[in-house]
Amino acid sequence: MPQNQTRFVLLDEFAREKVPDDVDLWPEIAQILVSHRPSRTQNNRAQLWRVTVATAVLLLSVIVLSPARQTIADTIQHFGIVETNSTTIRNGPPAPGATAVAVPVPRYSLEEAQKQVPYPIPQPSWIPAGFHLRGVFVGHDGVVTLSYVSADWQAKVNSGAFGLSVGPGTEPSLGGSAIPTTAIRHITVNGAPAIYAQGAWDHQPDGITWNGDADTIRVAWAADGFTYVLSGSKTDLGRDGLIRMAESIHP
Amino acid sequence: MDERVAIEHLKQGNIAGLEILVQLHQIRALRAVFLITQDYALAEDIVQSAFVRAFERIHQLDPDRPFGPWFLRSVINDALKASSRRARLFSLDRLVGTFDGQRFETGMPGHFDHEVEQSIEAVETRAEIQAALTKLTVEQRTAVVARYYLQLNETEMAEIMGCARGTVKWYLHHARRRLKTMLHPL
Repeated sequence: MPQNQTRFVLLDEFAREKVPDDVDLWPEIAQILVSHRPSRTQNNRAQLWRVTVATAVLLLSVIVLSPARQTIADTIQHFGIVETNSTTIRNGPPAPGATAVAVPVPRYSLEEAQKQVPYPIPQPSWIPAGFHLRGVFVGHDGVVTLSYVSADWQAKVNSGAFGLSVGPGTEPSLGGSAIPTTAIRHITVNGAPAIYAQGAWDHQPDGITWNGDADTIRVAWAADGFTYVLSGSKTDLGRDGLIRMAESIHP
Repeated sequence: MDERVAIEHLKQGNIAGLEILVQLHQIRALRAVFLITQDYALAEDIVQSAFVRAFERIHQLDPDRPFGPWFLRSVINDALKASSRRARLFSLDRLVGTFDGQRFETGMPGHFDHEVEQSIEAVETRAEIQAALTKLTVEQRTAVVARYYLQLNETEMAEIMGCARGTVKWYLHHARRRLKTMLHPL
């Protein structure tokens, strides 16, 4: 074996031990991008609203909210969820004025994150066995996202993850997950109206298609002036388990 | 969706494009950064942040150039900075001492079956590589990773490390000299 090849193999074997082939950073990167929204002030609120709507149009191409479901749709928008009546979405042209808003976001400890927001950060009193809080992302608009990972997350062998995004206020806030109407189930969390959905978007060359069998579940609701979105991926927790975790969340 | 289509999507603000680029480049970037930093959690943070930054700055990528080298340059730079910061905080002697302790605990009993012996040998080889890499300076370690793991030429290494070709050759020369006494195959 040539000497340079030997050197590569030695380094590669060493690196593979810590970074296996099935590592996937995408779920956490997506979470960072979704949780990091622009700041909301009185002066730029109207502009932000236009940009947010344009971005939603860019990502979804068509969002049709049935007049008959307008009340429900409003509620769903409060939860940071965009309801769409389509399960296949073609890529559209860029919307004028739509801009990327993501910048690198550091991960904080709960104590560090708490110093940056004026409200007590809510946490679940029950989380599935084997999961622990890995860190907290803090968005400019006061939205915090708590990231829970399984004990084997470093090995990345079928490791699952939860994300809990909490934001103050219940005014319309788009830019979160897009969920087809057919995937949405209306439930309650501690008596408050909520939605539950299972599935994820599969990416195709010309757009995205909803996969209702994907092991991604989420529940979204509003309570006490805050909006909550709790999502899990590869957790095997199921609907009842996710609702149990959601109902255990308190400041 | 291939890389060029993914980049076009990303330039339009569609994060589906970024997902493809993450799937294509995350393993190589993570392993390279891990080899430089010797810290998996730090490597993950660096690569994640670099992808988020790529999302923000994708318009700066020349459409005629591939994503990989442009992204790796950012990642390797971050790894260099992070390792330099950490080197000021932690004593290398302490890290080497930890390795020596692990090796001592492994022990060398008089008789093994072949499989166990191979396993012990593999563990020791990896430990020796880790120890050898740790004893290099951050710049020397980065040069070794860029040359022998990423298999870049000197021009590419100079671009990624942000220094002159002569400087890269100097780092690599001294790294090889130091490694030669510590690790025979290198």
